Amino acid sequence: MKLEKILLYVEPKANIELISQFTINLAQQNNARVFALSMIPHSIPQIKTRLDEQAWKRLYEIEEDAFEAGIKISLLLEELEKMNRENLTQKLIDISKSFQVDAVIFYSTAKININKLIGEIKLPVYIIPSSAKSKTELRNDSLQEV
Amino acid sequence: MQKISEIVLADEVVLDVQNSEKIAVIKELAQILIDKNIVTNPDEFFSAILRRENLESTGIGQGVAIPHARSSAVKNIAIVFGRSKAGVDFSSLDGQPSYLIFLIAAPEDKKTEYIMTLARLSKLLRKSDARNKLMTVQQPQEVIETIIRYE
Repeated sequence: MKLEKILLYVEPKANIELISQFTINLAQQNNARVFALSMIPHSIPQIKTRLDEQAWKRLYEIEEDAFEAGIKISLLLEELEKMNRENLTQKLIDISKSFQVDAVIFYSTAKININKLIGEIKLPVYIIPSSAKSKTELRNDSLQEV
Repeated sequence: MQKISEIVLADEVVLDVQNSEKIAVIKELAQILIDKNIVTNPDEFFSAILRRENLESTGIGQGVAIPHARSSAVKNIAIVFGRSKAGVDFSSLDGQPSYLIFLIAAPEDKKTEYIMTLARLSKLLRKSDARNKLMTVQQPQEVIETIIRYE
């Protein structure tokens, strides 16, 4: 299956270098466009401001990697009332459908209800293991496609 | 790390850009960087800007666009602000035109500063009060005052 659009969910604990490298490799293989998504809580302004900046920093780091690799990328920052598993999963489902992506990628520390996600979007989901120590461990054939 | 208000060219704010097409607007703002000798090689800088615009949307939604490039043709990090009353199509994901345009130029070897500048500016421009104020200011100095207030 050729992937035209890939959604990368970038959560705060994600290893940016690893998820960026894997996503870019996959995008290059498929000549796909990447949508990089972060989510922050709709909380009190002082906290939101700090989280907002950190989230943008992660997104722009990935954008820069994608740019250097010649990959098309769009950045998305969404706010949630509560950053719980249910809301995060639902937002990921909604955005997957809205942008009609062909695959979803996230780091294994993300609080996502995988069964619900897969049941709803019916697309390949790549979960990057937090146990991976280096980019060389992230060859496609070593990853589990759910 | 410099603040956004220290990087925006206070004397070169464009409250009403002359052009309405994306690339023309970018060139209009970039010309300021060339005239101030911040960009030393215009062709190289435009090439970096255009390559990025061809790969991604620098319209971040909510009426804001942040075209940006890191290039050896840039001497120091700088931001030029331009405002379009009619709006410019930057292919934002929300489908809305961009009215507030911040062109960022950075030297090739200032990647961390460049990314932090992008992050801080994006954060600032998510504040609806800041955007609304920037849409209505009448004097260039008010742009800087607004940025200082909200950053």
